Amino acid sequence: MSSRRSNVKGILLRSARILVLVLLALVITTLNRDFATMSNLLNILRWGSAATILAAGLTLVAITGGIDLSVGSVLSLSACVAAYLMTQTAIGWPLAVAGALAASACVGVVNGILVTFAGLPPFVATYGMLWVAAGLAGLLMRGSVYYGFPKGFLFLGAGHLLGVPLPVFLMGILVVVLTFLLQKTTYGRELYVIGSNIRAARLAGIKIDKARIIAYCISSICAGMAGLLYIARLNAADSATGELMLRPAIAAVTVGGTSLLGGLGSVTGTVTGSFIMTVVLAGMNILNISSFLQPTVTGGILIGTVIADVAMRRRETMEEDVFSLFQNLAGKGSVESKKGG
Amino acid sequence: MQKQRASIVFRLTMLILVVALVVAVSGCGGDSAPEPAQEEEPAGPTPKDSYTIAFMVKNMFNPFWKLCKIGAEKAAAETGKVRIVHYSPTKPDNIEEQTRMVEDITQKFLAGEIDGMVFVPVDYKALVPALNEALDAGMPIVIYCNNMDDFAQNDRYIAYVGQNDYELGKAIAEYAFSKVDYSGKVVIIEGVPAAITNIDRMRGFHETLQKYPDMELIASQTGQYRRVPGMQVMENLLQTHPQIDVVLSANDDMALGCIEAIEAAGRLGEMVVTGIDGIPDSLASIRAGRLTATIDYSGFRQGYNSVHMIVKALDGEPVDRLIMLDFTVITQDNIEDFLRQLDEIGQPY
Repeated sequence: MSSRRSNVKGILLRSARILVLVLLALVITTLNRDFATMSNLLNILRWGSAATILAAGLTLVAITGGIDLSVGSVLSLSACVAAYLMTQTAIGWPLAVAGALAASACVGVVNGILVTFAGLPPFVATYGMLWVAAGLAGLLMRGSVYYGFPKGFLFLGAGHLLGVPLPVFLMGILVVVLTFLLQKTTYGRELYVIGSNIRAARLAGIKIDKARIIAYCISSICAGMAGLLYIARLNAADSATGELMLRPAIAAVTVGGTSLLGGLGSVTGTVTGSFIMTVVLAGMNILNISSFLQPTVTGGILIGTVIADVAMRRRETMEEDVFSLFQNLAGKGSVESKKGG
Repeated sequence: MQKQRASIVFRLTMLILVVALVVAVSGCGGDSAPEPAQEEEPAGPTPKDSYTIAFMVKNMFNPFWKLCKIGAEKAAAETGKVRIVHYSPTKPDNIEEQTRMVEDITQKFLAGEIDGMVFVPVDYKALVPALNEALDAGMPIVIYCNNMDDFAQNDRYIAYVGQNDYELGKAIAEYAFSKVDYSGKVVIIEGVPAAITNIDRMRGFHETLQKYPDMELIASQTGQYRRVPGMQVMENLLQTHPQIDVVLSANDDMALGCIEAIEAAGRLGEMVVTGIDGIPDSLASIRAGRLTATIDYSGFRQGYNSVHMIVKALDGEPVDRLIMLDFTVITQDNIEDFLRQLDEIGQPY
C-alpha cells in the first residue's frame, strides 16, 4: 500500500461527495443567480459552521461503531446553561461559556461510562441521555426564554476574524484538530480499530473504555460549542434550541461517508456532508420551493449522494483500511491510514 | 486492580445519576400537590364543595404552556374550591405518552380521585379514541387551544375554549398591510407545515393577500415554528430579495429569529415584521421598537377561562359550547396599555 496510491484513492473517494456539492451549487445558481453571491456563500458558511461542528463530534463516536443520539439535547443544555448564567447571574460570559462546555462534557462522560462500564448499547445509553439532558435544560429554564446577551459573547456568532466569520474560523480550527487527531495520532487510529473490530482492539492491548469515553466526551463538547454558536447568533435561548438538530447531524455524518457500523469515516467527509445539507436548505429557500415538498427533496438528494458515493467506492476499501490500520498499529507500513473520504 | 477501579467508578456514577434523578424528580414535584386523603365519593355531575381538575398541556418546554398553567391556577384560586393536577408529556408533543396519560386520568376519574379534565391534544386526530373512552366513562371534558377533530359531531364534550387561528392570521395581516398602504412585497414565514394552527393562520394570511392586489407574495418558507430555523430562512431570503416590505410570521418565535437576521443584514428599518402569540420577549421586542406587531394568543386567558368553564359545568350551570376568546393586535401604539392590563389580571410577562 503506497501512500501515493492511497492519496489518489482518497481523493477519488472524497470527490463523489464534493462533486455532488459543486453540482448542487451550480444547479441552484443556474436557477437563481443570487445563490452565488459572496454574501450568500458567507451566509451558508456561517450557518453551516455550527451544524458542522455538531456533526464533526458525532463522527468520532460513529467511527468507534457507536452513535450519540444525545447531541441535540446537549446542544440545548449548553445553550441554556450559558444563557442562564449570562442573564440570571452576575458572572462574566467567558465563565458562562466554560460552565456550558463543562455541563456538556459531563453528559459526554456519563454517555461514555454507560456504554463502557455499564455495557449499554450506545443507542440506548445516548437515547436515555437525550431525555436526561433535555429534562435538565427544561428544569433550568422552566419554560422561559432568556435573551439579550453581552456584546463579547455575541461576537462569537456575529464577529469576524481576519475577514472570516468567527464561527467559520472556529469550525476550521476544530476540523483541523479533529482530523489531525484521527489521522496522525495513536488515539485516532485506536478509534478506527475499535470500530472495525473491537475484539482485535482488545487483543492489541488498546485501552478501549478510555478511548470510547473520550470520544463521547468530544462529541458532547462539540455539541456544546455548536449550541453556544447558535445562541450567539440568535441572541436568545430556550430549552428546545437543539430539538431539530439531531437528524441533520446524523445525515451529515452518513452522507459524509462515515459508516455507522464503525471503523470507517472522516471529519472532512462530514464537513462535505454537512454543507450539502446547508446548501440544499438555503437553495430551497432561495428558489422558494414549497415547504411541503422540501423534506422529500432533501431526502432524495441525500440518497442520491450516497448512491454516487457507493458507485465510486470499491467494496474492498473497507477491508484494506482495516488491514492497513493493523499494520500501522504494529508500527509497520505507512503512517497514513486510509479512510473513506 | 483496574477492574476494581472501574467498578468503583461505575458505582459512583450510578450513585450520582440516582441522586441527580431524585433531585430532578423532587424539583419537578412542585407541579402537583400530594394527593390529599379524601373519602371516595361517587363520580357524577352532582355539585361538590371541592373539585380536582386534571389540566393538560402539550409539553414542559414552551413558555406558552407555562402561561396556560398560571392562568389555570389563577382561576382555581378564584373559585376557592379547585385543586389542579398538572399533566404534561415528558417527551414534547408525544402522542403515545399523552394517550397513556388520558387513560390514567380516566382510571382516576372512575376511582373518584378526579372530577374533570381540561385538555389540549398534541394531535387533534390521534387523541380522539382515548378521549372517547374518557367520555364513555362519563368524564366532563373541556378542550382548549387546539380543538378535537370530532368536536363538531360529538356533543359529549362540554366546551371548547380557544382562539380562532384563521381570524388571528387575517387580523395581523390586515394590520401589517395597512402599515405599508396596501402595496408592497410580502414574505411569509410558515410554521410546521402540517400543524393545524399553521394551516389556519396561513389561510388567514392568504385570504388577506387576495384582498389587496398590490400586495405581492414573493416567498413563503417554513421556519418550523422555531427561532433558529426562522432566522436561517430569513437570512437566506434576505440574500435573494433586495426589497421586502412585509414579513408575516406564523408565530412570535420565528418572527424574533427573523428580526435578528434582518438586523444583522442592516435592514431593520426597511420592513414591517409581525408575529402571532404575544410571548413575553416579543412584547419586549415591540417595546424596543424592533418587532412591528403581534397578536395576543394569550395562553394565560385560555387556561384561566377553561378552568372557569369546567367548574361552571360541574356546578350544573349552563356553559356555551364554543368560546372564542377575543384578541388584541399589539403594536408600538398600545403596548403600554396592554402591559398594564396584564398587570391588572396578574399575568406575568
